[in-house]
Amino acid sequence: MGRYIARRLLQLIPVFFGATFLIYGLVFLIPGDPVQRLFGERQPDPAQAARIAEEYNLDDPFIVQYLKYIGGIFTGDFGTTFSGRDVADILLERWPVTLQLALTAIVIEIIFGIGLGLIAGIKRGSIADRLILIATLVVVSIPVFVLGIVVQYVFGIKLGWFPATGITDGWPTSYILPATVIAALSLAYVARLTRTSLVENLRSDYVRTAVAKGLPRRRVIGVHAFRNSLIPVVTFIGADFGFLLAGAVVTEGIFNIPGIGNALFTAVQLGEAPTVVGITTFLVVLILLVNLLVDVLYGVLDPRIRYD
Amino acid sequence: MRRRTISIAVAGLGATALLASSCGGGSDPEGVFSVGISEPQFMLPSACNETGCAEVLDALYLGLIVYNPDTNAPELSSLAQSVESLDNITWTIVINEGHTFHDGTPVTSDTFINSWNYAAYGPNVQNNGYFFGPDGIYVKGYDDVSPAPRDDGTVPEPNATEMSGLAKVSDTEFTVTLEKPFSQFKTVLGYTAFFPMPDAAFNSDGSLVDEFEEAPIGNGPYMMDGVWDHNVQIRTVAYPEFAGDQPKNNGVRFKIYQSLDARWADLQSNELDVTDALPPSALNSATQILGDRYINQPSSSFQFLGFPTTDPDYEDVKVRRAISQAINRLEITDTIFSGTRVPSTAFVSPVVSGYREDTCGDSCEYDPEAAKKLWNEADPKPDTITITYNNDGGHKAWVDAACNQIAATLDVPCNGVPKPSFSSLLDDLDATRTNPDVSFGPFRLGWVMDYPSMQNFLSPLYSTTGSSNFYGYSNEQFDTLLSEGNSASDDESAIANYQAAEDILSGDFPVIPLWDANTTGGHSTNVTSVTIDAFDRIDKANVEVIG
Repeated sequence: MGRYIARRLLQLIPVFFGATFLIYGLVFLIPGDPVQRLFGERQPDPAQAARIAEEYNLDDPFIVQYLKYIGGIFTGDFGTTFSGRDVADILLERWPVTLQLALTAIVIEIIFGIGLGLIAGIKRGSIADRLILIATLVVVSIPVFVLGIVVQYVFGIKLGWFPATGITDGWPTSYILPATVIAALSLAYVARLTRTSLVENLRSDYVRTAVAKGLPRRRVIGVHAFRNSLIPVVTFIGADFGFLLAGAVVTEGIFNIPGIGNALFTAVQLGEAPTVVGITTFLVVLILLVNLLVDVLYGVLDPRIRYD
Repeated sequence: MRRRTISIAVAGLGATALLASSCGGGSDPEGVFSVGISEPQFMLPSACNETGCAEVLDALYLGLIVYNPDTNAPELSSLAQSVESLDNITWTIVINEGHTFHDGTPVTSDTFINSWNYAAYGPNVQNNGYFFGPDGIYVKGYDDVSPAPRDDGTVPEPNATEMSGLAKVSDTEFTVTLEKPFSQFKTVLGYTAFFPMPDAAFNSDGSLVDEFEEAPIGNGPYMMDGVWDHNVQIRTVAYPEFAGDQPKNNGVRFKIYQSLDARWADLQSNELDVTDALPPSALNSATQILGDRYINQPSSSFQFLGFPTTDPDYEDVKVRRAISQAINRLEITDTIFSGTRVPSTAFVSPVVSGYREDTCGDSCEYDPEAAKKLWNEADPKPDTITITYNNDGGHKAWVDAACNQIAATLDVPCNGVPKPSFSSLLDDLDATRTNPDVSFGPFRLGWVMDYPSMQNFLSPLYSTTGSSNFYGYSNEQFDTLLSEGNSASDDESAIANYQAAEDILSGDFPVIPLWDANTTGGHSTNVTSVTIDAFDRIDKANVEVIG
């Protein structure tokens, strides 16, 4: 197990270089002069433009720029934005916000997704089951941004139960609406997945054995059927984490949450490579770590799965 | 096992929640109102060149010149006793005693001189440095502190750190000597770049103090309350020692928004008190929802179509006039922009003094028959018309509409060509300059003034060396009239020269004026007496908080 985890962690190193190189390259390829982008629709003063280009190594060939950037990272310098702020500061400022949002969303997804799936699975064919199936179908069919705007309008503006935008009211008040919007789609999938998986397992031989030897129903469902049913659900939630963060980008815009989404958007517009690379590389590493966690969780949920 | 996993997740959330709770609450203290802005790029007078920071700096600082809210004419602020010159070259500035920075130090002629030298010094890479150079007031000695780049694009080292044209007379008096006469000097002085910065902003070696931008110390009616909470908010309170008129409220909280849609959502739920911009999606419903709290008034934003002068297809002025007369401006401003833009009839914005209606004449009037006639007479002319625009500014709708009108009137194919950003549009335009076989055709442009003067439209847009003359228009007579206006002894003769220059534009017709954009905004039910000036800046000091 330990060796398995170590090997997986070592794989992060080539991924880090590959990701930074690719992303830096893509930012470099954005059409248009980066200095001109800074000045919008005006022409910068030529001396000023030359000085900015020099300060940010913009005239260097791509590979030199990249090596300077990577060299900086190893000395703890993540680069600076065009307004002179350390990219490290930006990462420390933005990532906690997005992570809070994503984690809140995951908790909502787990509690309500699995909960509803459990109810539907146990009472298969009942009215509750039908209602849950219909409701999840509706949620799956609505695009995230539509849901976001509707939820904001109803609960933020009309009813005023939650702040319509921003994070100034702190966690959890400010985060509940956006996190619910982000979680909604995955929640629907999780509910359906849990239901199907549970229904299948309830029909399996070992459950019948458990019932036959007289175990209470609670224990049959809770320990024998439910735990096994969680394996596909955990796989989904793990793989979904990256999607949650990506969904957060749209939702952050609607709810004015100062997370990575907006930082990434403006940095891409300006061609601010250090910021884009910093944010996305961390995203890549995070997704890899979450996938590792999911793989390890398999072993916990199902003792038959072994690592070597 | 399941229970444990969940409890770990919840514990993690709790920990992050503790971190976040230090941000504080969202409601405003008594007498404080909120203003929506975008995240400022720089919070320094010498570097701020966008509306977000301009709004905040306008609260934190006070310059020598303010603008009359009705006429936009320059007036002395409470800080300035006099700004005078006999020859438009040597200007004597006397400041009133009693004004202090928020750290208690007095505003003196030294603070002005140091701030301006800091802004102009090339190696400081300040965006507003050029205001002291040839495109601005052109202080004597500017070329020594910020030399122009060599032909290979590299920039020489400056051979001085201070402009020789700035000289201290006493603590309250200093002189500014210019390289050449400039009649618009006073008008320009109202711009953000000319605010004074305190000694506390600079280290002994003249560099900027680290983190000064996080909590700027100004000399204006409001001072910082805490530090800049990036992407969230900037809190200010009224500065009790302010020597000018005290604001009618206790402070302003600048709420930072990523999108106009989010601002609009907050305005509707009374979470935001004032905004000077609304999203396009709200324009239809804003009047109905806000009633008399809706603001729709002229701004200086002037929108037009430029033509690359290197393109032979558009060389004939009849081609440009025909296209102009084929566009039904009123229909577009009414239907697409819900009346938040006004068809333009001149080459400058109506908010500046010296503006005259209809300098564009018939050429800006929708007249399909005349357009078709001109088009038939024109030679050479393009086989197809393309209107290039940057796709990141919401221009698609009107470009397509204009193209449809042109195609229907002139019976020539017309389509819009989107480019990902304005800078990529310029790249492609440059590429066609070296390859004259490729026709680029008209492309969309806009201009927002830095200071309210005809000169701030004519010079950057139409002079040969203009900073936004992307189409290469050049007319010697125009340039001469412009520089005569700049050196005129009084405002009247300056304006007369500028107007004569504008008349040349009506003849040459280098660009197609389209419309002047309005400022659209609104305020909540918590505040009254909200006015916005032609720079999209809210008159914060006069806002009254009732809620």
